[in-house]
Amino acid sequence: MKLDPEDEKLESYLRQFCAQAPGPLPKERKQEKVRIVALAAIAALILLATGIVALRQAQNSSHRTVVTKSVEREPAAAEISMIRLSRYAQQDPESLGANLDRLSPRLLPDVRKGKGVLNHLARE
Amino acid sequence: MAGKLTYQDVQDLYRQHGPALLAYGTNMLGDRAAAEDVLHQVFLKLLATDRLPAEPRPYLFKAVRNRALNAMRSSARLSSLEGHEWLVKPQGMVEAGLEIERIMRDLPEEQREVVVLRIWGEMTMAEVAVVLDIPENTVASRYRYALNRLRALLKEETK
Repeated sequence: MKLDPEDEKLESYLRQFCAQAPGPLPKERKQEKVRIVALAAIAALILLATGIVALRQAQNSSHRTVVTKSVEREPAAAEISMIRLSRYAQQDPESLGANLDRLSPRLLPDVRKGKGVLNHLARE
Repeated sequence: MAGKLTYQDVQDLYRQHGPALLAYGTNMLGDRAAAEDVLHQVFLKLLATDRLPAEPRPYLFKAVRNRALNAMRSSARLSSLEGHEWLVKPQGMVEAGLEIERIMRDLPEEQREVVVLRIWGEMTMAEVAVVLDIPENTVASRYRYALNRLRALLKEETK
């Protein structure tokens, strides 16, 4: 675009005034900030993973307790296995009922204590 | 100029174009501090990209413009430029400098930004057209109108 002399004169008049300089550029590099955030995120992930592992281990140990308890119950369960019941029936048929009565409270819940349907049926 | 960016490159660009970019931002936002914030955001983003743009000057002005427009939208503030000095006034020309700042405030926004880009950004009409994303002829006509108006206002002030 060709400017006329009047415009050029005005341009050079305006250009006598320079624009003010801004303050110094902040030294903080965004990359460093990103790096810090990334490190914090990794640390948080490690903490989270450790927490999950610890929780799993705690769950496993409680599961083991349950297993142990069931193992403790095994003799009673073994006592009322089909083989053992058959043996009771063959050797001492009269005491079969007494043996079952002795073993069942150790394995089965006492329906007489509750107020549910089983209790109702038991009473009937 | 495209290539791997160093911190020194960014500092050099800031020193070289900072004043004109600040003038541009201040004229858009009507607030020097807000314009400086915008400027810092643009340069910090440039640091984060790690690559120099092929044409740094239009890139920087365009980036400042986009961020200033976003800031204007989010704050819904009208630019008044009142009390925001952005020109260096040489000794004995303080009044004249203040007068130019005053007259610039009276220009329509679209003419004002063309003048700032052309005079203080030292851009060609083609470069201004790239920054504003408008045809070169539109830039030229806005500039002509702006100069006529500036001349008229300067004459009025000197009467």
